[in-house]
Amino acid sequence: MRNLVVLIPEGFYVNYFVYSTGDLQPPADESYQLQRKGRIRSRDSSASSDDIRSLMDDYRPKTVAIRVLYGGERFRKPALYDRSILPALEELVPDSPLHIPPAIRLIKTLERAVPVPDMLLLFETAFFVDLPIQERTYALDIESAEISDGALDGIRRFGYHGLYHEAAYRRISRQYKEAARVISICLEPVPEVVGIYDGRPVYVSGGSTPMEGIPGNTTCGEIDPGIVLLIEEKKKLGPETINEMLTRNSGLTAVAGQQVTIEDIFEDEEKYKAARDLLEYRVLLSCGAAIALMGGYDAMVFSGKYGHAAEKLSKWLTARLAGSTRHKARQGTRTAIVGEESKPVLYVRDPLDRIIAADYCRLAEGANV
Amino acid sequence: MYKLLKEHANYLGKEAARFTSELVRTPSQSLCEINVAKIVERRMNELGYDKVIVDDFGNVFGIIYGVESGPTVLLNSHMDTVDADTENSNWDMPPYSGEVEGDRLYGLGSSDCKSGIAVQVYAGYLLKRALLPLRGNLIVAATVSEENGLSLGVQHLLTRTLADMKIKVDYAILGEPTDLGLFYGHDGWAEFKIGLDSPNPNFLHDAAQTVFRNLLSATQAKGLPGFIELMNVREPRFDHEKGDAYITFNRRLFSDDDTETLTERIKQFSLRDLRERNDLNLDIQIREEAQRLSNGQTVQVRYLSDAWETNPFSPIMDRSRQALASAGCKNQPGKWRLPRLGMGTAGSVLTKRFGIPTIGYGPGREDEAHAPNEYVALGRITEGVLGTAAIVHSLAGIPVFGWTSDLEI
Amino acid sequence: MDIGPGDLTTMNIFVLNCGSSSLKYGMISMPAGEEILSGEVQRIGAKTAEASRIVHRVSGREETYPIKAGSYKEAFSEATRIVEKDMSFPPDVFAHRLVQGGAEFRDNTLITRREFPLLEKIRDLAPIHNPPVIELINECDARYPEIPQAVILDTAFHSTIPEYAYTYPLPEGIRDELGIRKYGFHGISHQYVSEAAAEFLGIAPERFNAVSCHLGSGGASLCVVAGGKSADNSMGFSPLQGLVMSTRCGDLDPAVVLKMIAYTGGDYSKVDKILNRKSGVLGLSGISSDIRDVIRRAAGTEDERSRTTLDVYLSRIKKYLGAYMTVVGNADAVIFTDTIGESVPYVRELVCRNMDYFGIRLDKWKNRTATGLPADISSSGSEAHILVVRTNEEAAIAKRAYELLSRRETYGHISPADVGLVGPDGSESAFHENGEGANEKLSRLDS
Repeated sequence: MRNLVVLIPEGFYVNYFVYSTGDLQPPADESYQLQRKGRIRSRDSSASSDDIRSLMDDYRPKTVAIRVLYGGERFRKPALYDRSILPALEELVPDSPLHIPPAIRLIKTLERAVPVPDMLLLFETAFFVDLPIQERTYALDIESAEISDGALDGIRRFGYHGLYHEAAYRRISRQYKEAARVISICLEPVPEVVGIYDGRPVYVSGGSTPMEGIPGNTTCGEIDPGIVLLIEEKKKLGPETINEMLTRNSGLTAVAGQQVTIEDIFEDEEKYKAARDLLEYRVLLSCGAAIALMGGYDAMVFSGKYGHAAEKLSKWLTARLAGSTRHKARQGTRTAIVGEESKPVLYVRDPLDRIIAADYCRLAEGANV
Repeated sequence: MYKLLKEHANYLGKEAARFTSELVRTPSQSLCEINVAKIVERRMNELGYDKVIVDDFGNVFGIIYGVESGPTVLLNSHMDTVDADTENSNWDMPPYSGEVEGDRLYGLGSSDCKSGIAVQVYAGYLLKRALLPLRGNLIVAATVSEENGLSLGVQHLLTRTLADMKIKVDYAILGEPTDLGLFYGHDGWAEFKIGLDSPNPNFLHDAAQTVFRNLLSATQAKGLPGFIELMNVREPRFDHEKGDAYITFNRRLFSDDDTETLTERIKQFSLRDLRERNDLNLDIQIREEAQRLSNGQTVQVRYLSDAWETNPFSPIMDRSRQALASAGCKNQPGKWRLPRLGMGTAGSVLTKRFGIPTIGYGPGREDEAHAPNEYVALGRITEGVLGTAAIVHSLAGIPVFGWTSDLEI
Repeated sequence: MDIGPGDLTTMNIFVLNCGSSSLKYGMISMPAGEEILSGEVQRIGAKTAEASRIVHRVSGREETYPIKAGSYKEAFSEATRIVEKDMSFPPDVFAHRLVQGGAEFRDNTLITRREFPLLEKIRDLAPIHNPPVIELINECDARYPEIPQAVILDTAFHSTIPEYAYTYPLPEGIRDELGIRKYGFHGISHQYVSEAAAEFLGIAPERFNAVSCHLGSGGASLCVVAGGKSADNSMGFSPLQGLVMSTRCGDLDPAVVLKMIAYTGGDYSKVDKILNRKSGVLGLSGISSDIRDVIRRAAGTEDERSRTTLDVYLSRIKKYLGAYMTVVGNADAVIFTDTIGESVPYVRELVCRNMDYFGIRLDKWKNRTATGLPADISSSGSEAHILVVRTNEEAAIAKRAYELLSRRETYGHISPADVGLVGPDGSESAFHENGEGANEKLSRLDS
């Protein structure tokens, strides 16, 4: 038996999951079991280091898999840590100031463990590095000298649930080999819709940060950029306060008028109708956009923690999408009706740590790291 | 992100208060700051500042390097205090105890401005500890010779030390007492010295008395048009051997005052009602004095502190106010009233001489400065650490937009 | 006096359409919709490199007059002087185009002095477009107090957008305080071309479903038309949202805007200028704000930047078209209009490429040869018609103004409430007693 520790930083905490991975015989999904999970408060750097080290002492894992939220264009696949990676991570600090520094600290702590485990870094953005140029480019002059100090340097669209989407795509293409065009919908606190064509994302609702796209529990999603300017002009709140407003007090919570999650709004049909209508509509628009870029779709897959909401949403969504392709025939000219057959819909119910564990097993077998 | 900063600040505020107490317990009259400097240097090293330097004037400063070529922010407080003057004023608390009673930390320099040093040193550490990177460099400087030397320490830091390191400061924040208001300036003051001499000793005596009366009258009737409001006009001092005399007095300076014109106006005013002026030589100038620094160097000090004001709607004020509001801190703009004569801040030289946008944000209270039983409120220290870090982050930090620290994603 | 709907006399409507530095005008005879004359005052403003001028078109000939026009008031005065040479002036009605009516003006309306204070409230909502309109409404009132004035809104057509589509999920307090919601724009054009398209296809307007693509050389937006009514528009609270436009960025991560504000030390007006005037096709290409220039450069050259610009531009339209086709569900047509939409077959071809899923199949030959508009450029196998329709803002404005007046006439009389002469408490305004009310103005129509 070998142990794998999965580390998922989340806010003030690092969540850890200890898996025993067996001898890695395929199918990988079945060959590992969760031994223990918990969270380490990372408020105090020295205390969290001690906690991490004692975790290492207890389990002496061969490998620690770390979820990293951002990998820039440098990391297009999972990376097995070695010393050369540290400078590359440090270069990413300006693009992801909130998440890369704690990741670096975590790595440095693990480096001092005895024995030093293999560190597998899994980047949420890796899946999106090769988005087509027209999809990743904003209509801005990013080389413009008008904004001092390069505020726009490297601004491009990414996506932020790459690990879910990739796993979801892998699952659906295993089950439906002919499904080349997949709509992947991840229902997490900040939801994300991706259009995947032959394994490659061609559309993503997320932006240069997770703020853009589909509104989440408390995040605003896509809004008119002019609104940000208006609020600053009229209220002089400053970008920090506006950011708080747009990330913590907006989204479905703002529409419902009380703190809600995506799961909640599908529970109470009447009470949260406005929030649900809005979410459904925005997901529908995103699906339409994805379909336009893929020239259609063959299957749909849901992932993320709000599985129950996914089932309800998918019913509504597939009905609407079927409706949009049920065209009336033009007099005397056409007969065929496209897109009316029902498309497969799949739900990936694994939590992220399990997906990461599966990724690890798959990678370890293929030694393709 | 602010939730993250707040969590850390709550913890660090207590450490900053302990550090303040340690600084207060270490006497540091102007020109004798070396022991405090050592403490500050050691603490900055302990906290992991990227670089800690003590320059040849005795200024100590720590640098936290930014990851891009963003603006450089200077946090500045002075290490020196005025003399305790325990004989003439009523200190109930021992001035060097650094004791805490209730929510107050007592001692000489607790408000002005050792709590400012502690808050700024820990604000830099807070950003480091919360792992919030900066675009530009942060320099936290505890400087010498403020109270007695009129910002000599800061002047040297900027003209020599930082200039030699090729560091240009874009924004400055003073830790002088503002009760955590956002202060953007104050009036100035100058100490004048009128020298009189005359071949006729009797006439010299009368003339000096006339000039003294004239000057004294200018301290009384306020609000008259063209009036020159003077303060602290002291009796003439005579040197009978040399056959000359001098009178010293102070004058507030406002932002629109021009010292040359003012000097000429005071000269004409002091000569009112004086006949036979031809026998008298009257020379008026701003007082100067040679001073010996703690490192042994001697410098010429000019007793003048310019009025200064940063535009209250300039980016440094707007961004600081917004950052404080975001962090849930007090964010009230204001100006120092300088209730006691001779007070001033390094803002004069920072803005006038170096053209650096400067504001004040410190935990002490202005009324406590140079006052017996000086104290600082502990709550202000904690909030000051958070507020200062928030301001620095808004001016030179890598902005964290599109995310919140406690966002689950 | 009582007159039936059919008896409404022919009237001449003088349409005033303010741009950011121009004033388009047109005299339209309604209900025929015939343009008697039209023109444009160009380069209005105190500081223009070249002198102001009027390009005036009447009976098929075009004349150019150099004039002085430091303000819209002056421009209007000069224009009327030239119009008076060709026909009697004033007209029966003035009709003003208003880009953004805010919460105060949700629907097209006849405006009297009583509503003038409301105009002040919306002045800043569209700081470039609204102030000149307000200036002209005041000027018309001062010079021709007896002529009724109609305000025709770009946002009126979009008042039917459902709540889930017009709501921005921001805290309710800030939404209410600042009037934040999707207003939508180009409504006058979207309505005009969708009516024209419905008529062309012989479908009753109230049963007509389409996606209307208003692709201008400056601004551009897509519109969901469901049952003849607008159900969504790609522009939002302001014209900044949505497609890649000549100099506007369109959709953008709000976090990027915040970052720009922070990096400029809080200078939101600078950021506003960059996003509204230096981005879009201009910012992407670095050479031109006109997509036609970019198409020329991208064709057959190694100019990567132009190619990328074009790809981003087209991809954004495609995404919105796909999204809106899913919303419509059962579209009768896709409509292309305005400068780019009408005159650049290449854009239409690429936007419609590989859109079979939505029942969109374009006939390349028809597309390239479409001249007499409206034209159907869909292939015979296409479920949705693909139409190129010429938009005519002046005619559209006149049509709406005429509707507004005839709607009043239909009821046989004009009630004070109809024209805003009744206060919120039901009292008649003092203004009415002064005898300068809209009844007075409208009485001309009865004769």
